[in-house]
Amino acid sequence: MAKVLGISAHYHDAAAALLVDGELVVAIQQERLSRIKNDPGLPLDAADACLAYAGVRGEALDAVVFYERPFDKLERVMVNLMRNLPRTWRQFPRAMASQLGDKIWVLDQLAEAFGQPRANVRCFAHHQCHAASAHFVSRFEDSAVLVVDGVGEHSSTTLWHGQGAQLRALCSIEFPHSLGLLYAALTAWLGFAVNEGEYKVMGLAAWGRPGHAGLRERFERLIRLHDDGSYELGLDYFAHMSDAELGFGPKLEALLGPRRPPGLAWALEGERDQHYADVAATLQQVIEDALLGLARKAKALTGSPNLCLAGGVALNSLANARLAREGGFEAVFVQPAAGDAGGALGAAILAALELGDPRPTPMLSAALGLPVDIERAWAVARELELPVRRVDDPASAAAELIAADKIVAHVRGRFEWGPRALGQRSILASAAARETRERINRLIKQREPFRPFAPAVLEPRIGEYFDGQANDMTPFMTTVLPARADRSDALGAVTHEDGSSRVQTVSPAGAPELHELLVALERGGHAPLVLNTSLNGPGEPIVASSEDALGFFLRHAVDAMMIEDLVIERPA
Amino acid sequence: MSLTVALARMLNPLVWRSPARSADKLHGFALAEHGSMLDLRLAARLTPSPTRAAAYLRHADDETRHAQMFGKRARQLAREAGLARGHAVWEPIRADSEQLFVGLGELDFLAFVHVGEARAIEQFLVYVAYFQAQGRERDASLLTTILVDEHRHADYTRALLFELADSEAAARRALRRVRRWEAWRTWLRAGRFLAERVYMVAMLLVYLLAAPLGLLVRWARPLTRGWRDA
Amino acid sequence: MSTPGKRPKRSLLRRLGARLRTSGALVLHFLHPARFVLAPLLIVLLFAGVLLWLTGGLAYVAPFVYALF
Ligand SMILES: [Fe+2]
Ligand SMILES: [Fe+2]
Ligand SMILES: [Fe+2]
Repeated sequence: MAKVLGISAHYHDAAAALLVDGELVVAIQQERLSRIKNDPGLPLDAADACLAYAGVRGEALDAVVFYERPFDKLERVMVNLMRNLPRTWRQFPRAMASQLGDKIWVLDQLAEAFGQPRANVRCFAHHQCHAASAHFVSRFEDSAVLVVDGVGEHSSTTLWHGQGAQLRALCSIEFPHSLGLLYAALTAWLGFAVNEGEYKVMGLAAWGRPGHAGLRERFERLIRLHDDGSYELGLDYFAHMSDAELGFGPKLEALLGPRRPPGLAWALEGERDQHYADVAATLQQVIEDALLGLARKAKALTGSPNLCLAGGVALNSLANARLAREGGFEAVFVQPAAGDAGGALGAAILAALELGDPRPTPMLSAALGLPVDIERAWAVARELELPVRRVDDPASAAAELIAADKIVAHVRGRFEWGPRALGQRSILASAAARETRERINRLIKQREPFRPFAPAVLEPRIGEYFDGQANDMTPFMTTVLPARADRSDALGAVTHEDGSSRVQTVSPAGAPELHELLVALERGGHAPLVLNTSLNGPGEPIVASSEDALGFFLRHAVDAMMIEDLVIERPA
Repeated sequence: MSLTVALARMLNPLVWRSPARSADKLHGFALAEHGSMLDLRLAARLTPSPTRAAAYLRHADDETRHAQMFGKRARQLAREAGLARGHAVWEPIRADSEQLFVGLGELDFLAFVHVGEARAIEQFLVYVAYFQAQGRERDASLLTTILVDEHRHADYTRALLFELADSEAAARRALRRVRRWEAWRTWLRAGRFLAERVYMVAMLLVYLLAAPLGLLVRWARPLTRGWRDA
Repeated sequence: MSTPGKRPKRSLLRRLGARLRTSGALVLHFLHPARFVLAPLLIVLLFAGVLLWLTGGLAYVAPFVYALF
């Protein structure tokens, strides 16, 4: 029976997760507390918050576990810098400074921070942590596990077989061949920020024509897919071996055309931006084909009926949907924090299992963060002279606002784990009218015109609006379903260009507050369906505390905000 | 005349000499505003007083707006100057946080913010005068607009500081303490700036000397492709 | 919401000891038979480490400070 703290940090999206006696008690991404988007710094605030929430002192921990092997990582970085001499001269001083200045001491830093003997601080391989974060919190007894990201220590793609509390490594593909880095390079080429703009690339794909004008043939020079499920990058086109920022070389621009200038407004009617959309669509198709190949290999090696996916690439909900349809598995699961934040969870589970704890029970809800302090919210809202009032039935109050076509910031329950807002820190609105979407974009999000908004629907009602069933991914928005064409009246604001929707199914276990709200909507004679988008301004992390929520309300013109049973309505 | 004012006046023609340099400068201001916002948000979360939390939130909201205003103007100027698309101004405004509230405690935090805001006022006034003399109405009015907020920031932080301190003398001590602390940090930052360059140059030498290791690594660690069994 | 925790204090000597142990483990990592040929990289590491120690960390943007130059 152990208390184990898992940590991911120093690359992208740091996080902490706390397991007590094998059960996941609390998990927090550092960005939610530091308010720095994708904050990669050592997540001491997140870890302290986890400990405080669970009432555990740092010294009382049985293990602190890091999601990566620092020396192996250093080795790969150095070998790569030396191999690609002299192209790496720019990168060399900085890479060495960040490795030697910070990264290799991380286990010592963790021991110091939590008053732990160094022997209690340990680490597991990056991909093993990813794999553990998926299989062990799935409901599957037996599953094939596919991990696909940019790169861990050496591997960029790995296959695993999960059986009960066991996880066995099968095979891997090594850096510099990497689907994640292919995606990153094209994200940069499309003018988006790497590690942030990937969703935009996916949204853009729906507007393009995959393989148009020989693009698929051109992509074959970038990546070759082999019959055994493996793949190989055309390394000449990339620069991730020598340029951490850009990831692509001049040859890629010669092949696909000049990169798109960042920050330029989009005009998808024009020929030029149509080309960029076509490239995004082709990339999406190639990634899906590659993942299908990997899934086939995983199936052949394990014979398992189930598939778990992890790593940054597993956040591609379109590809996940295709894997669920065509991958040959009965069920597919993707944990909500499939990216590097999730490594903290996997690391903690691996150590807890080694200490003799049982495997955690299946993850049903992503509401694993901190609740808001209602009294504090009340007091600060009063000080801000906001018209705050208490209501007896917050779900009905929120439902009424939404039914009256108001845009509502919904802050209820513990904040979410992973990049999706799932009703605890969400902006909610009626899903029917297309104008709502434009209004949200104009007032708050300032998103590119091609990015979709997602719906949340009462789980038993899903078939009435979408073609498909609730599955292991729909509670976490890690997949998409086609919207029913005959219900477009109810889905105007939440159907993407390609007719799909990144739908969330809502159950009492997954998101109790949102569930109550949808029930109240239905009771009032409305569709049990809302538009659900994350509660944050452009470029900001999702709101966490009541102070963040009130700060958001000051800055952005939502019509109303619910903080638990408090309602603030903006005077008309 | 304070040192800030004297230096700002002296450097004006250099700092604002071209649209490109101005864009750079205003982008830097946007980053400073964004960083201030982060520290104020943290302060709002951590202060025990709801009244002060509200004040910090309002202040953070102003700084967010300032960051956007500076960022927008920086991009306009960058466009005029035809700055390359790879330039930092085109990147999202993203600063890091020093968690001043945690490091200094609330009293010294307030003192620090007050000193910073008061200095910003002096500095911005110099810039406004310069821009007006140069006929750069747009930049002058941008700073004039922001100055209104900065005056409010300087006033309320000073009021809260004297309210929170046990005595007037204690408040003044805090002000002196953070001024000393800041001077020390400026010194450190200058040292770092220099050290960073020394490090870079020295590391490039190491890199040159390590060149033969490149061959060794290529031989010892050939690239693999396809599946590798575990 | 939580406040940042109070960190347990450790003596400089203990911290130095921990760093030395990690350095030792790092040397052993590169001297491991499987990567014996990479041992020369230790020289690069040593140089870089000493340089970094001599020159300190890297810079950041200061809040509430609008750089004069
Ligand atoms: Fe990863
Ligand atoms: Fe400001
Ligand atoms: Fe200010």
